[in-house]
Amino acid sequence: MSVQAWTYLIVGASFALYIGIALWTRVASTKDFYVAGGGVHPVANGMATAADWMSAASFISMAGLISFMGYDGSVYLLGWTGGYVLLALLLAPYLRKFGKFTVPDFVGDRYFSDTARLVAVVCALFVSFTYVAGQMRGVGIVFSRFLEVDITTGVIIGMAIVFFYAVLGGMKGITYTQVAQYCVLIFAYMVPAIFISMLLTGHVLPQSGMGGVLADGSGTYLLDKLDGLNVALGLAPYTDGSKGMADVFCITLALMVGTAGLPHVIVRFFTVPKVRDARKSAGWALLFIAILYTTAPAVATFARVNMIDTINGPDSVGTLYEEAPTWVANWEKTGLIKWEDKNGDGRMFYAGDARNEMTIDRDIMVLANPEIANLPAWVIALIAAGGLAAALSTAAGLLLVISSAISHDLLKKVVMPSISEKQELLFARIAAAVAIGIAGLLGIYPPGFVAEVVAFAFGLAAASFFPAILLGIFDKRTNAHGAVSGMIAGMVFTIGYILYFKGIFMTPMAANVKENWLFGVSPEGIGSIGMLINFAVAIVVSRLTPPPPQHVQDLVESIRIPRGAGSASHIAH
Amino acid sequence: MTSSVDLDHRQPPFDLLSVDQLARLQRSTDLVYFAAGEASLQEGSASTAVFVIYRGRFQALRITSEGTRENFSEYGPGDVIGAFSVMTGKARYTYEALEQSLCFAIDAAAFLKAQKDNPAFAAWFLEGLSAKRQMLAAQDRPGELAQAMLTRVGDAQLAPALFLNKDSTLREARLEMKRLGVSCALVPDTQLGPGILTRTDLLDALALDDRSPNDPIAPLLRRPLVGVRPQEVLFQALVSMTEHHVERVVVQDGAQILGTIGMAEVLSHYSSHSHLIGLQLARASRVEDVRAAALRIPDLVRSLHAQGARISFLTELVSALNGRVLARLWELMVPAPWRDQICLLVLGSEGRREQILKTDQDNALILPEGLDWPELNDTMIDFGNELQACGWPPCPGGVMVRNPHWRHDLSHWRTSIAHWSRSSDPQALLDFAITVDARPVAGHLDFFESLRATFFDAARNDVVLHHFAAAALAFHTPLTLFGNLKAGDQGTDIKRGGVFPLVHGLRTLALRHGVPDRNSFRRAEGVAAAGGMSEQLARDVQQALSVFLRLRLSQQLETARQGQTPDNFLRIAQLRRLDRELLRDALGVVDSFKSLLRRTFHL
Repeated sequence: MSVQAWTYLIVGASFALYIGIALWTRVASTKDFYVAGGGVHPVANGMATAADWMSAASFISMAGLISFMGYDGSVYLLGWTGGYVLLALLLAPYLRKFGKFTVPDFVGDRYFSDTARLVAVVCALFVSFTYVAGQMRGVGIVFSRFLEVDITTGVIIGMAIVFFYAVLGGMKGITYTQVAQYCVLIFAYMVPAIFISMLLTGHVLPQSGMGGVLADGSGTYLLDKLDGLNVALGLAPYTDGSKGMADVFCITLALMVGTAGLPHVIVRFFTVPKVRDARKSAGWALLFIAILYTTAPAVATFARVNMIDTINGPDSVGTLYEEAPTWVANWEKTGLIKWEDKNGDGRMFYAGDARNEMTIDRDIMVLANPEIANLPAWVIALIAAGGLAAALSTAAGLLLVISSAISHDLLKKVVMPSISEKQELLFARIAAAVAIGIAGLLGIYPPGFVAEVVAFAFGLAAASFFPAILLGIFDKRTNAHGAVSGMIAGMVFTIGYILYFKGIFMTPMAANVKENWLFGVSPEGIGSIGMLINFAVAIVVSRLTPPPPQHVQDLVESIRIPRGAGSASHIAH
Repeated sequence: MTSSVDLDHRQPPFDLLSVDQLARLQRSTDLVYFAAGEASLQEGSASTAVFVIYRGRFQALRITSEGTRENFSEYGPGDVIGAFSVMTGKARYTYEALEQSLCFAIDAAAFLKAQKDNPAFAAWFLEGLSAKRQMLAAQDRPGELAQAMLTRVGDAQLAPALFLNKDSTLREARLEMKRLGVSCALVPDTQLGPGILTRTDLLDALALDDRSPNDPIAPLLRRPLVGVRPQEVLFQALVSMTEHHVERVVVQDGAQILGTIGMAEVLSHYSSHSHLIGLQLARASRVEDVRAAALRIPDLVRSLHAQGARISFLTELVSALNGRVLARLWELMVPAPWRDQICLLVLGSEGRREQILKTDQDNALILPEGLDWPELNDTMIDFGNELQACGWPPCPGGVMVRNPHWRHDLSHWRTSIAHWSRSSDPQALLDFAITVDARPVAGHLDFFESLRATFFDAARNDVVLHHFAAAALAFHTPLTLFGNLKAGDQGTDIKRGGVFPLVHGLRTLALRHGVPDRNSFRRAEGVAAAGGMSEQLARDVQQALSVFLRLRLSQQLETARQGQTPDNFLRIAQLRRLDRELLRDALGVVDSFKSLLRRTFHL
């Protein structure tokens, strides 16, 4: 069977599985009253959380970034893993104790202010939009390759699929569907990684394969070979960093704290009724996330070695275009690989300097990896199913957040309180459709690569929510004025900085190079500076204005006392 | 008098008759002709026959005093008109043929005889009337789903109000009452508010308290007045009397007193015995008497339901009676010093005032701190046994006063409630849910008020409510993809499919919006007023709930009559077409309501 036939089969089967599970959950009514709340095992919930967490950025993009950035790409690994831990330990338990589901609700109640709620809703929308845009680009890439269309058509097909899946299908947060999605995506990620690891190094585990010796009998370490290749092609050694320390620190920090503001993941921590089970779920989720995250650097390394080998040829003089490997030919159709014969020798050549003739989109690395390694067609198809699972599970959760934020928090509570339930539902669907439209547009004209787009989303979340949440929990003196002005200041600064250098929908106002950056911090990491500004503004403004009402202060005191978080002394009955 | 065409024996309700009964009816049946515009029956008249339309169409209408015609429903072949008039002696409408029509005319006496001979046949007409009235009511008041409108208080025969000066003497009072032929007098008082003096009080004062006929009446006055408004249905008067242990209430429109209405007048409109049960309870001096009264409640339900009483009235009346049974038993069975120190709570459906047939005894106690009463356990076991004898089956989950787990002091209750609300296991959620509906009925009633804040405290947490609300979505609404009714082998489980999602959802919404009411119908109003759902949905939910309760009650009464244990399954095939449609619409409302819950509680 061809790759395409396998893709239809496997993607079709995985979708049938998700829909089947969703229907089965709906039909299987519980036998007893009041049992709806319990019943999901922490392991299952951990998988569901991991599926929510791992988006197209994790699945499709992260290894690609590492592949091209080398050591610098590790900021994404550190940031996202650390962010999860931060969320699980520092924020989720308190938000749960406070009893509010969404960040805007928490902010609105804690600061006792509808203005604060409104600002938080707007920030949440902005962050979610950016994040969905990243997913849409990922879905578009998958479709463009496997349906052999250009990326724009791919994104449009992706939009339609996401709309049906998330908006009309009502596939929101059904735990077992997400468990299935996790299984599909982790299987899809691991199978090619293990295959290639065995081919290249003879190690079964990709994690150890990356640090292992090549299987060609040369006795060279894989990473040494890659460093050598990089240097020979005029690049910095793969294992050396090029980013400034401040920049690395800021990007990592922005990714970490930005995580806290991602609304769809926080909700996952509340869907387990018992606090003890919620903690176990968080632990399992971390393990399930780590399986993919620790494999990503290996995938990146294998893909890069194979890519350079197949393009430049074994003797590093380039491959004749007529004899180009099939993966190059296949991906050329999507427009994500381009060859420009600068020296007119009819050979393709990849390098980091003037000799380079190839333009390769970093986001294709994970998807193209099995093709580059000449793996069987079904493995290539599996990757497509995995990428879709990752993008869809995240997009569905986020679209739900966006549509309910617009229809409920914004329209029903603020703008048009008199709308009926049916109108509210209609507005929710319209909002989701518009969100998908805008996200699709951003997917077609991306301001960066998927992972970078997502990094912006995290940066914005870091600059807006995180200080409001953290001060809300730990500083009872912070009031509505402080929180609102802090969020606005952080948000405006961060958006301004990103626009200044990246120019989304407009020409950048300055070259996006280290010399122009503030304190040497790139737009990806500027959320951290935005966060510091937010903190400073919030604290100063709060001290200059009257303190919050006494009952709010008492509430803040009580949130931090662990008593009664759910595992209170058992009472016999 | 034989007609060439026979009554269709396959068509309801005639299919209920035996061959003999039908034959007898057939012998007294004529086929009659009406020209277009001709009336078969005049409003207010007593009909000599019941008409079954064979060919043609009729229109029910009323002609107002100004001479304008108000049209109500239309009738076609197979419909029965004039039964109400034959049964009550008074037609509600004028029925006019819209085109040339042929009708079977069943002689009134034969019809009544058939009803007497065949209770099922009679019941069909009683129920059928209520359904028809519902249809009419729906047309009268567009937007409101059908609910039987019974006679209004203002339409009933009121006793004129006799006003006396508060300085009047007993003798003057009695003379005035006698002159007007009334049994009570009203006495305006700007400071204390109006008071009422009944003939019984007056006679007691003279005969038992050694008052002189020249004493002033002021000390004998009772306050405050128990009043009903003229636009309220008569049934409400009955509920008020039962609830306040009085036999006469004042009818007032705003500040204006129109007269008084007594048990006797109300009862002339009902063939029920709720007052008798009430009287019996009031007089009961022994547990056996209470039991005898309590055991008569199901018959009352049956007869009121057959008369088409609104389901929300029925639930209120029954819960008022049940409350009095419990209070009376409490007084009789719990000795004096303890009786007033302990608070008896009813939980669950009884707490919500929605238990029509006694399903189980969900009750609990709030004890005073450090209660030292060694006989507590024995007394409560006796109390529980007596409740069982009065018709309340024991609670399978053990939620009963005889169970020490349901007897706590206030601080223990608070801890338990906080714990249940945060716990996820089904038992804790169930305990929390039934306790949220708790209502104090006897003993130290004030205890309970301080407990209520605990519920609303727990409900401030959205995460708690999220898990609590989830139960309302656990069961699938029994509708197919195309909106048709879905039934299993046993029928449709209406508790899972309709009642529970609405009741539990309203309970959760009420908690979230701080609505203190316990009754589901009131909760719907309260939640809508607090902005938790639209007025439209609140009305739909109320109507859907009463459809479920009414249909379930019909079937439970029928099951009980056949000597089986009533369950929650509706046998769809046995429902009339109108009811099937109502049920389908009501289940549609459940789906809309569930989607509101999903959005509100992030489910």
